[in-house]
Amino acid sequence: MKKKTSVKMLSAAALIAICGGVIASCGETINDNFTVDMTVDTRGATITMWTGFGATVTSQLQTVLDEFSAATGITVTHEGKGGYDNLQKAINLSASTGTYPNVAVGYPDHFAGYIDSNIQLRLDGFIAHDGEIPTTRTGSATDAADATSTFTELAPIDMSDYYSDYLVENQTLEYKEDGTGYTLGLPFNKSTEVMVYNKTFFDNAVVKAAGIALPTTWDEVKTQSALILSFIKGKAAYGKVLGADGNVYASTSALPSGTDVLLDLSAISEGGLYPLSYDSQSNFFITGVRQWGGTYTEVDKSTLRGYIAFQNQNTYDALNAFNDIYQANGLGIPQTFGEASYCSAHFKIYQSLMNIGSSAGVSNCIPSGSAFETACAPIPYHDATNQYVISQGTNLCMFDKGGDVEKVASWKLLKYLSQINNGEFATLSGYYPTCKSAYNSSVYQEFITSTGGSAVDKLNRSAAVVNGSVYTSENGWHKFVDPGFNGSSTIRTSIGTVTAQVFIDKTSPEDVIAAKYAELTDYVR
Amino acid sequence: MTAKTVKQQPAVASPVRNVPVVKAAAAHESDMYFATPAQLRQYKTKTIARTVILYTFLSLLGLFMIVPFVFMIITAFRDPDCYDYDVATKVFNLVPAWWNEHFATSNYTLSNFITVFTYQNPVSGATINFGLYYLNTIYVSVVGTIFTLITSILAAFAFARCEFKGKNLLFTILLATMMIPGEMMVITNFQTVKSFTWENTYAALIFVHGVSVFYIFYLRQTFQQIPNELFLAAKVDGYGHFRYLWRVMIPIASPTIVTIAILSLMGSWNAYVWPNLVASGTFHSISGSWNMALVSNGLMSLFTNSDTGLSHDTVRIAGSVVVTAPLFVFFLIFRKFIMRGVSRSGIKG
Amino acid sequence: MASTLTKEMPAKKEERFSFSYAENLSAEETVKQAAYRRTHDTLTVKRAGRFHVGETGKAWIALIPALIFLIMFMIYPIINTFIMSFMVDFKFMKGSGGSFAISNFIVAINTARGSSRPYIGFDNYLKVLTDSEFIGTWATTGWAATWEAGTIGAFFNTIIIVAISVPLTIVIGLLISVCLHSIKPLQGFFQTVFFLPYVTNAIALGMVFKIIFTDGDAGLFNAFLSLFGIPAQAWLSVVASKWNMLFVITIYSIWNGIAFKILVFMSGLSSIDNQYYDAAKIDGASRSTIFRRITVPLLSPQILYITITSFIGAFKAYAQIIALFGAGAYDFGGTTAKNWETVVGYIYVVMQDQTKQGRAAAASFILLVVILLITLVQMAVSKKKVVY
Repeated sequence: MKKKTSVKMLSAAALIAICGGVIASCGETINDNFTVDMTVDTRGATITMWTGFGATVTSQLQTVLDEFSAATGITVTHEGKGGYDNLQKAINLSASTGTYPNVAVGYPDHFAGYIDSNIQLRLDGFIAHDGEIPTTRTGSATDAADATSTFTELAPIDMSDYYSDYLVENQTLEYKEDGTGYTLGLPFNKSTEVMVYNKTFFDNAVVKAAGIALPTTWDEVKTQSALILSFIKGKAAYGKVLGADGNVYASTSALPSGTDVLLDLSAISEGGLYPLSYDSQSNFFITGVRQWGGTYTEVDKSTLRGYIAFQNQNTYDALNAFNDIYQANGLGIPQTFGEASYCSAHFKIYQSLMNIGSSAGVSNCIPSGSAFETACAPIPYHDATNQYVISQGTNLCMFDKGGDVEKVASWKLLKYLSQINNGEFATLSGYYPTCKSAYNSSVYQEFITSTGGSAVDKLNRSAAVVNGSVYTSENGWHKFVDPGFNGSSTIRTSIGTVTAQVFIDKTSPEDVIAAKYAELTDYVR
Repeated sequence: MTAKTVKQQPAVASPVRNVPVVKAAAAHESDMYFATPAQLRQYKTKTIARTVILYTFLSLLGLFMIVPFVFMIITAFRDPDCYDYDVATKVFNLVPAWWNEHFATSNYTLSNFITVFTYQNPVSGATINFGLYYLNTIYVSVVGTIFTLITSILAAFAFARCEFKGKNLLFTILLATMMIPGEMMVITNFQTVKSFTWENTYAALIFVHGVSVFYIFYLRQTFQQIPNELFLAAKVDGYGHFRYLWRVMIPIASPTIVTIAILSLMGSWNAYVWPNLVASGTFHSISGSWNMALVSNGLMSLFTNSDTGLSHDTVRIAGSVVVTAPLFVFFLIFRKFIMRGVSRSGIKG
Repeated sequence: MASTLTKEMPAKKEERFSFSYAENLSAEETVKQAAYRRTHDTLTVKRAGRFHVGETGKAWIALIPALIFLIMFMIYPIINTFIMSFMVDFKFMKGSGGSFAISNFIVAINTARGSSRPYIGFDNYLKVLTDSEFIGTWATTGWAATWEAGTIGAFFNTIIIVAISVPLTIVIGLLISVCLHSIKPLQGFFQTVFFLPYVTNAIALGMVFKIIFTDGDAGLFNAFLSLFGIPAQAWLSVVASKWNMLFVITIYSIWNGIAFKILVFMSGLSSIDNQYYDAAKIDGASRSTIFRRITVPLLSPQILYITITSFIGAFKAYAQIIALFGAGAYDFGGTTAKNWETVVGYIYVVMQDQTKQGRAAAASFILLVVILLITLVQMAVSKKKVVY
């Protein structure tokens, strides 16, 4: 009897689930007919926003959000989820219960997942109907009934203002029947990779006299690394302190007054100094493949499935070139130092002289006590036709939540953060402006052209200059992004171990790539 | 040899108090005798040798057990920069010469602990407040344990004392669930919790893993050892089932119940995966809102936080010590209860 | 009536226990008891084929609190996950109302945008069982190369960890318990020392082990080894060999797992009657014979319990691996960060991808089947060897 009851209960539950699913699924399609009323008054609305930013960026973001509230009367509740992985997981797990926020930031492959779960809104309708928002209303931002003041709504969006590279990754996620892409997000905080170098070392007269200069290509990296290592070895400076006058002293206290420390190698023995270090191994692989003219991944437009495409000679050439530098002790990766992700801690204590890392994290390379000066330079490239540097950073998106008021309010937040006040956010956070108007805004120009300030400010400015003036198409550089699709982050994490396997395990590139293809069978055509 | 009086053996697995269990006379060492003094000497040497080996073996292994603890405590008191320098240069020194040359301050300091309890990010004002995490964890442990006890006692009572159709089948099913890896249930449980809007509430931490088949099993063994005659006698007195449970079974099984309470408290102190997923944010209540992270979450966020003030290994170890110490003290106080409870109930078939 | 009962109860408190022994009952009490027993003792009544009506109801009342939560948070998720494992390309969809796999599936079929719609099939299981991350790269690179490279897959990693750490821990635990049991002075002190690991947090412990097993001459363990003339080894870093890593994992597992085993063994040992030992001593048995022929068989119920639970726990190894290699929740050591990936680790890695939930469910179910098989084998063996 118990058995029958439990079977009955189970089938009843299943039936209820099926009915519930069917009822819930009726009328849940996101159609191309845009029905949101853009003219609703959004003053007094409250929307939620989730990000994965750490504490520092969150406080910078909060400044901008407060200004948004003052300008539009919309309250934004921000929640940091502690990292992009946690953010993605939190949103994915809230899809079925409707507890996701109104606005979030994310990478293209995050968006691919949100699109699959049917929670992300297409922005084309909002862009097209943006002009319907009335320009002025009566009342103030905070008090709609106040008859004495007038309230001006935000300016309409200008899609041509954006740097086109940044828009591409938001328009390659979902396609219309004619093959063009829907716009699924707007760019927000962009960064790229720059090379932070020990300015004190490279500017030193003795060093320059030895023929050492900052490398600009990977061939130069190879020769310069050899030069640097032989220079130091020639001075017998390992285990001692190299002074700015070119002489070697037993310790910092033995330096004559007026002579500064050039390299404090008292704790470093031969083989413990790597002239160049590279933080992100995934970026190292992807950028390297691109710079040697190869391909990384590709997307099938009809199924939106992504596939890997790096099993070719270009990849092997790139890896072999890097391996030559590594085996000659010219290059260090985090695993070389026993680290998981970053080499900046070792750059600070003279274990490396140039560190390639994210432009948003350059302040981590500033040594304590201002032991030496730092500045930014572009990353090395292979040849002039393939000057590629990766473009990173998140985009803003909106979710299908709430009524018209919430949706229009979220749209206004997107506009504000992405275009209208993006310059201020870029100034505060060290990320790059997403559009020309933000770059040219007084706030950002003031930041770029000023001098002085703390070491952090100077380095951030230096990184901004590299991005704005050096990584331009006029100079031949291309900023690339890879298409986002479900699983692109899995691929990215997986190929992040390729360099370590080639350099440290000394497996041949062909074998490593073959093993990766065997591992990532889901993404092989 | 004169007959010796029988030595009273301690009661062995007797659940009923105040009833001495009389054992047969045990042969005692003093009853042994030897033919020659040489044999006696040989025996004595063997005994001493055996004791020495035993203690050496135990001491060596005990040392092996203690070393990580001692290390943890020493490192927690070391100056952060000095320790980082040692690690970066791969030199193991308790008092490095480099340090003494450069810095006048002592190699050992309390600063790690102060950081752990009072750290505040200068830019954003975010704090890591272990005092709050302690309170959260204590609240969840205590309420969770009460909930576990109530459900376990009732369920064990039903399995041990009552007869109903399907009892054995149900018990076997429950036993089988002990073998299921928890990962199978995490995603679904999380979605369920979200749909109840229990996310970031204490309810999610207490109710979801509150019922433990392990403790039901344990307690059932103990309850089954209570003789049937007691139940009949109580029936004669007019006790119903539940009154019997409350008045007789619980007092008799109290050592086991205390053990379960203690083990449950200790278990919820170290819980990490589920609290991290479900309740690591802000708890909103009528009187205010506060961070409801538990102690393990706090420790993990201490490990992954890359603020310059916190990213020292010594601070992380100090956090580990702060998390382990209360449990250790708790264990020291209640050690006898744990030992007694487990040996009373015994896990005999 | 009620008042009489309450008034009488305090006085009866002590007397209650005296009813348990027949020799203390008077003649009429015995008769009364026997008569009552015939009609009310559920055990005897059961044999007669009739039930006391209220008893089943009371049992269910007592069970309901525990059962509600067990069904909601344990039985239902298991069934749900099982159903999910047969849905390929399963994803959680907006508007499905929650965790029901079935409703999510139906919503997905109706409203999926872009990439594939889910379908029912065995693909999840097939993909897991042919995934080189799960069963190793034997098929592609051959036996010798795979063994050397260490890419033997999560499944075989787990089996090696279980096969090595569980027997070791049980044997060492048994030895310690027996030694502890036979000493009197300092017994409490040593008990505390050996139970210390039970109170430690797994994450905190991983941090400490990482420091003890640092590479080079700086590591405490390497310094210890140098006393014996063994050169410094790499233990946990990227360049460490697979077997060095296994050594550290084993030490960690032993350290962590021994406390509870000692507890259970000691309680078992203290319930063995001394008369067995003394009889054996009189017969002149050597200590090892006593251990083999008396202690172990009499302790066998506890040994069985510990063996079964240890194997189950070891198959679920995950927290200790990430605590030791600690770059995050998905780092299992080595240059590929997957050197000692276990089955549970594989499940978590796969769960990261929103579209592979079905595959994670399939892997969990495979793990369950393996654990079940091993437990059944152990119980079959126990029928012959365990003495009650």
